[in-house]
Amino acid sequence: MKQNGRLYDILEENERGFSLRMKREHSVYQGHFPGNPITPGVLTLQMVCECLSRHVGRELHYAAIKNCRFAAIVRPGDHLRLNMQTASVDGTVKLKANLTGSDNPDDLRLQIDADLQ
Amino acid sequence: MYSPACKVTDIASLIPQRSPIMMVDDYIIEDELNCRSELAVGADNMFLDETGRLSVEGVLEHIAQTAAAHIGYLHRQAGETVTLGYIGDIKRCAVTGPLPAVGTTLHTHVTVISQVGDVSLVSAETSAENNPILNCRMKVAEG
Amino acid sequence: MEKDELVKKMIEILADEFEVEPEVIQPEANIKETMHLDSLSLVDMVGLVNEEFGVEIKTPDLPTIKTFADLYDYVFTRM
Repeated sequence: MKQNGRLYDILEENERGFSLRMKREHSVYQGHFPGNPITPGVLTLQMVCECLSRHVGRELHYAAIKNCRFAAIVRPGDHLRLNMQTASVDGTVKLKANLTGSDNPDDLRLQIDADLQ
Repeated sequence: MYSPACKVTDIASLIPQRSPIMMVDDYIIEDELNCRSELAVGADNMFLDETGRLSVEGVLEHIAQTAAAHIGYLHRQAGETVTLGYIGDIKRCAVTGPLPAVGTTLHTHVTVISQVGDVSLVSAETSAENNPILNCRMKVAEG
Repeated sequence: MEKDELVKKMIEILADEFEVEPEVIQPEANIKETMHLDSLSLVDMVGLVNEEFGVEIKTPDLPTIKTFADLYDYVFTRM
């Protein structure tokens, strides 16, 4: 992805998901929003896509999003846990995932049900 | 209340997003429930993928900012201040055509379906070079 | 549209949209609890009623619509 450096660090990866930490510095925060850095929801969506691509070993893109709920905002410095359930059907990866605070599974930030190709 | 098909080019007066994440060039109001917008995909767009095309996430951000500009416009007309808009959820999103390359102009139509308090539900359709590329439903929450 | 027809159609579309069994949509049941609605999905319900029945539920009226029977009455009298 052509971004001015990555938005996050991967701290840990296993078959069920990822431990992630949002970097404190990224150029997007100059504009989102000036003086009030909040990670754009679509960039957390992109982070999920990138992690899934890494997980399955090929570059994927969203083809359809049945439901994606941005339950709470993500800020630079946040420490997160991405849990994924996947199924592959004819080249399409069906994904159900949630992104929560790293030490509190009830601290839901993002929930998604989507197809990627 | 507003002149029909009024075009607003100073988008920064309607939404709080700033460079490098300004994803609307022109916003055109049709009526209280409908608006259109345009975005020329520039070589410096932060949502370009590895093949030089705008990502799905970039199109969704463009749609969200179009909806937020519309809400901001209605606020301004009512003499209120422009607030921050967040995406609440995205549903029924289908990518229906090839993603736009650098130099392409996106055309988006947003319709407000319902509004409850600070949450607006919109449907959106984006096309590029007369080909539909993505449609979805989105909720934008003000906060 | 007759009211029993409205009720039947409403149950059908609500059960489908919010993924609940049609049987749980009883007239005196609480809407939010039955369909697990939060502030976002409430907007979906309002949008659905507008699209399917051409009735716009006004935000100030929402607190008065607690049960499914309230919803049927609200929509039926405004169609």
